[in-house]
Amino acid sequence: MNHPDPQRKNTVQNVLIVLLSVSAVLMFIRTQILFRENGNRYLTDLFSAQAPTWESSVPTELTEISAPVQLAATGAYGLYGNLRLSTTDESFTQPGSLLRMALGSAGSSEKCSESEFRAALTGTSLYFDFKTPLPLSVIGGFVGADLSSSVLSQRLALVSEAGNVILYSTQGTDFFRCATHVSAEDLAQIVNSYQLGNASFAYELDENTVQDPYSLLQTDSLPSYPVLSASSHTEDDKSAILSALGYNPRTNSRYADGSTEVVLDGDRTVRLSADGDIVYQGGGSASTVQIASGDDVPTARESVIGVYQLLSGMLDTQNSEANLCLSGMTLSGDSWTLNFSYQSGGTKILRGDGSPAAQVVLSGKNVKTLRFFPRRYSATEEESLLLPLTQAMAIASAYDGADLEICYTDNGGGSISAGWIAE
Amino acid sequence: MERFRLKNVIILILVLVNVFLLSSLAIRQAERTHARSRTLDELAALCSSDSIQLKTTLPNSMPPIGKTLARSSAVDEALAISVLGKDAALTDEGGGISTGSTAAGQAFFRADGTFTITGKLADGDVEDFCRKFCRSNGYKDFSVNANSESAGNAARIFATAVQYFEGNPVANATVEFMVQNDILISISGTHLPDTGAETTGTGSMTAATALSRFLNARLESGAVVSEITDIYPCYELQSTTASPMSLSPAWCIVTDTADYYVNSLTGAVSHS
Repeated sequence: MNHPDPQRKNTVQNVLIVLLSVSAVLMFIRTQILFRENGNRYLTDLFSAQAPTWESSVPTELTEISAPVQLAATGAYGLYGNLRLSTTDESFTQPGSLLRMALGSAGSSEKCSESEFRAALTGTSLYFDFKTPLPLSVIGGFVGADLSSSVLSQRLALVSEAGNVILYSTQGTDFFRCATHVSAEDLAQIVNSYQLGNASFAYELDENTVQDPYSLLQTDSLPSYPVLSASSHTEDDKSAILSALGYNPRTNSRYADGSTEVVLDGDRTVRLSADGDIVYQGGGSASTVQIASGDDVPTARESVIGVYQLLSGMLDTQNSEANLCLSGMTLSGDSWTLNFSYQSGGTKILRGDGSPAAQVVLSGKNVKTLRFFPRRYSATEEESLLLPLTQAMAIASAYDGADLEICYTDNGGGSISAGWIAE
Repeated sequence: MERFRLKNVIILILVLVNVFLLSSLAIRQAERTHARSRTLDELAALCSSDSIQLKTTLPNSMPPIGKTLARSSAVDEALAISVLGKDAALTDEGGGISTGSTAAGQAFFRADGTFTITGKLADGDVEDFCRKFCRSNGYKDFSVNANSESAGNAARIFATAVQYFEGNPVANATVEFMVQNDILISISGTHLPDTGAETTGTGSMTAATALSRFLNARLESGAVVSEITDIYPCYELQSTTASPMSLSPAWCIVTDTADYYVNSLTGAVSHS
């Protein structure tokens, strides 16, 4: 005989147990959410207690790498100049965006004369000086344009002509121009957003006789340049340096050569001198340091990104007010040579002996040699003392064709000041 | 029988657990409500001390998640076609620039999402055309310029609207309609694609924190504000060389003098 009551009771009990269990779980989760929102993270913190680690964001695109650039905007009422800009600054976003559009939409280029170039600069225009000849693919990479041209250029200008925007560029001592699809209204809008009349090109100044004619010089009062305190890498940084170069930081294959520590790995050597200099010689072994590359010979962009990542991995610069910037690159066969210097607030920091802060020679995608003088910089309350422009120009006239600009000079000491440099 | 009793015991235990959790939940919810109420009172007092009237309640919602957007040529082309006709296929000119033209006018799209369409775009009921354009392309808060009639036959701004993204207004992404001689001659502004990839950093700043950041910034800048009438979550459109179109979560604080935007990720305060 069937007894539906016990069967039904059993079913009701099972349903109740399931419902109550689900309800309890949901309420427990909701309680935890409220618990965390109220700031009580005891359990979470207990099980996730970790010492803070040095996290530096490693750039993977050229747009994330800062490059110094001088900007001039010419309008009806004069010229505005910003001599302390870098490509990652917020104030470079608009002109950089326009340059990206121009580079991406540029047509075929034709040669023009220097007088045509100078005449163009007198009209509504934006002028960019990257301070060193760089492949156009790299310049384009800094502003987000995807270019493959390896032609070296240093100076670019967007000029409004007859309702169109023309892109002018310098290639060595030659000048070129090409049409773009950038809107002349957009160019005018950006130019008109600046307070014109604070700067001039050197060739526009009566005082200039032999200087680089396209040096941008600020004609109103000079901005302040703080004195920077400087320090080299410490013993604590050696592990990161050795790791970045593919060494075991705890290796015993090392010896002292005077005040220099030499670390060996097969036929590779790295010399860490007491004054902070790092000299690496890669060998032919399989453990040589490489940069990421699609082919055996990296492109200009891959070289810059790869070497920058390598150098950035050697020194924690989270608290430094200067960063590395590309100061030159050349290609010889399948060998790229890249030079990097430091910059602070858009102002270059030069080494006293004229050498770059870092020079890396690649053989294909292998790092053949590396010389790096890593430093950390921070601004102090003290200001650098600078000569007035006219005096600086008078002194610089002794250096024929030199580019006059304000830079810091680092002679390895604990503090550095800005000063006029003619190079 | 034994099983029956065992299940009853289990049910009893579960009921007690549920009662315990329910009471715990109720207590925490009451604490949270009380804390919010206390925060609102303190903020109102803080505003009063600065001679500012807080005429709104603080929303409990959080700002939206930040997004990185990628240009959609299909979206741009659809917008151009909706204004210029089906022959307005866009040509990629490079550098993020797309252009198109028909007998009715020309379209120009840029990498950062801004666009300009000019020509003889509409005559007759211009307002109706503009409203339909806004409805079709995700713009809301359509507002006719009250002074548009006084400009005579000169080109003038007829109306504006705000771009919305996933239900949230984008503070600096607007569209502007210009008319001349009662003919719509230009539509320009920012148009965003429909979807975007989420960015890291969701911006967990509450409305209360945003309001206190605003009050601090107002003190430093000396801006004149006497009333705060609304606070709501929104986006700020940001353009950098690395990311031409990215939406950053923010809070919009509406005052009697201007609208202020507090970025949820950085705390930076800007105004329209």
